[in-house]
Amino acid sequence: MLSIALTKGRLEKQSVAMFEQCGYGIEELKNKGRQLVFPDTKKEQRYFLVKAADCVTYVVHGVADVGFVGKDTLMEADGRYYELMDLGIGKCGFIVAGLPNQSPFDKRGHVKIGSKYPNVAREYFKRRNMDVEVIKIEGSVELAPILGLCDGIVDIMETGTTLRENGLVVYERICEISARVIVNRASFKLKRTEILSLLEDLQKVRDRDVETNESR
Amino acid sequence: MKQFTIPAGMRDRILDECVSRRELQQAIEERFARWGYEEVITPTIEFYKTYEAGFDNINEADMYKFFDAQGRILMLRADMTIPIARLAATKFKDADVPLRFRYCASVFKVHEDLSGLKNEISDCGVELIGVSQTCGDLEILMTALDALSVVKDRSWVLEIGNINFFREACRYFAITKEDSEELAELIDDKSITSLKEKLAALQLNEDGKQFFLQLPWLSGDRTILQRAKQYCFCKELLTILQDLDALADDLQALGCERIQFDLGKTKNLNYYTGIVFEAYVEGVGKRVLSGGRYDTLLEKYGRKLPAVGFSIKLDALSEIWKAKEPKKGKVIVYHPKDRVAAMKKAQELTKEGRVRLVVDTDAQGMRIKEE
Repeated sequence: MLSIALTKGRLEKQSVAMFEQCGYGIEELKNKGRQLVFPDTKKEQRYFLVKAADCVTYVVHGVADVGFVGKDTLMEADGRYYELMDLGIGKCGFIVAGLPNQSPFDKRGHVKIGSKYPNVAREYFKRRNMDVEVIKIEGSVELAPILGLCDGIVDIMETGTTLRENGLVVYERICEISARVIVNRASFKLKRTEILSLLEDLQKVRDRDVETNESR
Repeated sequence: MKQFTIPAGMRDRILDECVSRRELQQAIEERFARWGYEEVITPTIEFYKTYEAGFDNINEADMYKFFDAQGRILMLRADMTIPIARLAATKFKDADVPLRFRYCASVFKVHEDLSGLKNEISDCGVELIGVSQTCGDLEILMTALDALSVVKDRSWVLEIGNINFFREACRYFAITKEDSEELAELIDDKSITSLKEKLAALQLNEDGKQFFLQLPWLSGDRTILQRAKQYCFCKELLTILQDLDALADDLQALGCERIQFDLGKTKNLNYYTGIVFEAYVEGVGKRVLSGGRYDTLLEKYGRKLPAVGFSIKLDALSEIWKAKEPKKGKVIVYHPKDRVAAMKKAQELTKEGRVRLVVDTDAQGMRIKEE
């Protein structure tokens, strides 16, 4: 029996669609009521929907064998797990943005960076050998530089519309992000066959999607 | 009201938890003793520089540190191998080898708050000092397998790798220390996407790229050792595979089951120098045993000797350990005026089993009943 933790929200629909293409029995997952755990009707596996950061926690503790979660969450979280596959969905990037002509990289004095991802921000500026103060912000990060709380932000960007609408510009693209399959280290040893076959199914679906996108 | 709590990452253990834990510990220690390991107890506090000398890149932020009266940095021991290496190279500097030490002790590491990880961990382990590769590796694995056989009714697996497989490849391609550490981490985490990106940045030839990309997937039963051959590009790598294959032969000849191999075990690159191994038990999300060969550690403390060892994570394993039903004892109910008679009776009964005394001012004399 494999337990699979799926991230609620943005990634949910796409991950469920992938399972459907794998031919798994996900009726319950599609017509979810108040239920929290959804057994697969064809395979020895079950799914549950959790918040992104919890997905990592469940996998690290081995309560879930497999998790579907964004690279952004993995970069922010701490913990040991195997990161075995790029699902190719939920694509976006981490960026550093700020007000036009006020690049945080050019500022000489004390630099303040607002972010929902303080660990990612801290790590990035450490690599660039810059001392910055990171301020944790829970939502609408774009607001922070406009109101003068900080000199720049580290955030995820999909299309860039929100940033543009708020008059912010991108100064640096930190890295690319997409949804990943993570696996508990012990589960990988003890349920190797099931996990490898799941990965194989997903890979086929992913590669087919890539092909159809390219031929379009 | 005053509040009294315990620091993050610490925990109290009570009643049944203590019973099963103690039982597990005794079962493991007994196995260790039978393989000829003698117990050592080292101090909880060591000098920071002792650890600094042992690890090439110690992660300072992970250690509990403080100062002594002279301003020297002290720390709570973060593992038991370093203290034992120090001990073996100093107190036993002229002793005949091999040395076989066992221990059971708390080690301390600072983990981030609320991550669900413990900052005080109980390690129960052994170190075999002075026996080199072929014989030493086999002996330590047999001890590990014997210790793991205390786990009943659950499947488990012992997974063996050799860190030199990765190290030799890095040497061949002259990959810098910094880059190889980064690669090691990505491979150990089987972080496939980031690994691809890193390899692209390193500009290796196709052989090299394929080799490192395959490492995370070279895990499973011993057939992976055969599969790994096709990715080898120098004779050093083939020798390592042959050695592992010979080890697999030995273990097979000894009737050992539940052995697997993983060539993607690359953690602690600057510490291990040969085989590395870990065990996993069904129902426990974390590894329950980890160990490896560290032939260059002891010379840092003054005596050059090969060594290999492992430790069992008592906390992880005791989660699934079912303690034996305790034997029923006797209860003595007595009136305070009969206290001397009751104690006398208790003294007598404790020779046979457990006694619980109950004071009852309504009691008529003294009454003994089964628990």
